[in-house]
Amino acid sequence: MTEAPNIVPAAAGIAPADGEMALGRSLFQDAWRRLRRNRAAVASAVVLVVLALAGLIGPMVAPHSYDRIYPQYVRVPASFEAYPKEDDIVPAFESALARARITIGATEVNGNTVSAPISDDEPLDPRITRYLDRSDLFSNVRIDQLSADGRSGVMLADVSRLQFIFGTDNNGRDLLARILIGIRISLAIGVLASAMALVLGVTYGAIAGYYGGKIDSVMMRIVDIFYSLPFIFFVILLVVFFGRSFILIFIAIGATEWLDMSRIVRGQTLTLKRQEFVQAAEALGATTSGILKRHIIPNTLGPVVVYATLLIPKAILLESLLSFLGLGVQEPLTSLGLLISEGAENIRGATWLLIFPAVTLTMILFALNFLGDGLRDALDPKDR
Amino acid sequence: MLLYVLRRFASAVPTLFVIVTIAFFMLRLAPGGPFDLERPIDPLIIENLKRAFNMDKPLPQQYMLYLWNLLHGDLGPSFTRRDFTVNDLFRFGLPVSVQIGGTAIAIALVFGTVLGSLAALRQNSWVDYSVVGVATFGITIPPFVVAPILSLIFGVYFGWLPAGGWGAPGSMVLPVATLALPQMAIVARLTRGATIEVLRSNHIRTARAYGLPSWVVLYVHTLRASILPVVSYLGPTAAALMTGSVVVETIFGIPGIGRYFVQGALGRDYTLVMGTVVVIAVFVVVFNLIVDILYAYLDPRVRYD
Repeated sequence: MTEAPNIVPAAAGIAPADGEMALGRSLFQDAWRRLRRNRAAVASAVVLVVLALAGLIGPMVAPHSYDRIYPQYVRVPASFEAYPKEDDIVPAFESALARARITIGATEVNGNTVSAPISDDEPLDPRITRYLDRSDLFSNVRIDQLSADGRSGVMLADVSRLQFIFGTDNNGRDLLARILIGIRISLAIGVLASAMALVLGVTYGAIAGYYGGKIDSVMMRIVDIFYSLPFIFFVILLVVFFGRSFILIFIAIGATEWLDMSRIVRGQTLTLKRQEFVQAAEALGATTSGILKRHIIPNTLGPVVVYATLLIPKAILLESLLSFLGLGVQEPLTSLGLLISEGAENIRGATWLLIFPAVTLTMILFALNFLGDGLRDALDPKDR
Repeated sequence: MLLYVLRRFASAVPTLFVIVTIAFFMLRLAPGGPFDLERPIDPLIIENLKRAFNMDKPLPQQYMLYLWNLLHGDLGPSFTRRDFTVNDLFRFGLPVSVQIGGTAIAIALVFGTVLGSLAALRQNSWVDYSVVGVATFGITIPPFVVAPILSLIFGVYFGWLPAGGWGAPGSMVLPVATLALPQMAIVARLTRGATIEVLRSNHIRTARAYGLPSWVVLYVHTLRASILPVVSYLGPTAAALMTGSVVVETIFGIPGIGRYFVQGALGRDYTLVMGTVVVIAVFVVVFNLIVDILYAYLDPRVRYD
């Protein structure tokens, strides 16, 4: 199980060879230049920024709320045209009004308003407008030209034009709004879980590597044992212990993803602690925690940053997998994995429910992977 | 060699023991139990049930009892599927999962190494770029996206293959394709990287200098060295695939063992979860051993004694 760690100090080999008069470029300046030249990485970064903004701001500016249910628009296909379709207005108007049990004349659609003459044997109850107000299709319902005896008039209503660019789901919720909130949840869990794995793994690995000896072998045996337990085992146990919540999900993912990180950092630390600057710090009487914080951990950051970027798509995938199994975020909140699993159940007849979330998730994963590869090439040019 | 194999198995026992112990106690500490129903039932019935499953004894005794039965190859009765023992469930489900996982691994190995070698031999040509592109695609798109889309295209839209289910002719194609695709991509990538490196190494140059035919250089000398990372990758992966994939088995409705774990943990089917943990651990141990033996065979520098 113990593989040889990739022992390439990040700074080695990138020293500028331009001659001594040239202004020295730092490792990160150098990496930044290389990264900018990588077109796939730059494009990925742009895509990610756009998607992240969509996840952050999108739900606020989207025309529909992610949990608003439109009972009249269950499973409507994706379309740029506004709903209701012209042919649907009159039947919807008449069927809604039919429940008022009054006589309805010929219904007319005039631009954005629908009107129908109505009459009854008794004086008209003004409350019958509610039958139409309740529908998602009509708003601002009113009775006009009420006759003196109150038994006839004209029912008027504005047609609410609603757009469902990506269609709606089985409950009549706008898929676009749900995808936007799903992006937010998926990205947030990816970033938070990776941050947690980062902190845990770096601390653990640095301590194990720096102390070495028995402490190291005990700590690494523990990691080996965790490795051999299936990931899903932990998560399910955590879920049954603490219930299903957003915070728990990223803790669970972070708690299972730190193992690789701790191995990488341990390997780096093993080589670092033999170097002169660490010995110098020890000779000067620096404390162990000080050496770890000031000298060891900053020097492991190169590979750690690269690994962390590749960890984010992994965490997003794990979250999606959990949601897919029904262990992730709970309704009405949603994530891309949950949307995809709903789509998978509805592939007969409602393909848009699968296609749009799947494309979104794929885009995020591609962008993160390309960016991670680009960062690796930029920070560690030897490892191509 | 036989001694080495025996020693490896012996060293796996403590690992298995630790895994079983952790799993057993973590599972029991979790709130809830297998007999929690939405409707309250007669406490007398509960008591009888508990006695039937040995749940009335103190936890340490139950643990010893479980270990004792495990040593005899008895995984106990299932808590939620009352008519079956866990051994039965694995006897039904494991062949299905192994069949699908094994086929997927075989396909991934063959196609992955061929594509990877092709790409390495024609490095920076259109062959290389398309293999790398397809590989990136296969690695990035998760199985729970691939599976429903394959099912949509070939099962629903064209209707060539069953969209799900098990037993009908062709019902294995889509699940195997879903499982094989990412593995094939990873194998192709690993082979490509290793082959590029091996082709530059001294012993290949020597072989060429001797005037060996190029196919001998390729198949005898290069492939043998460049397949090493693939072997070490495929060991644990094969164990994971053969013990069933939750996603694939759920989407295609396959009666494998992939779903046992999740269902068992949610229903507090203690014996089923423990059984799954044990089966997975055994597969991992066995496949790691196979990898090590293959290593010694492929790389003459590796020696076990």
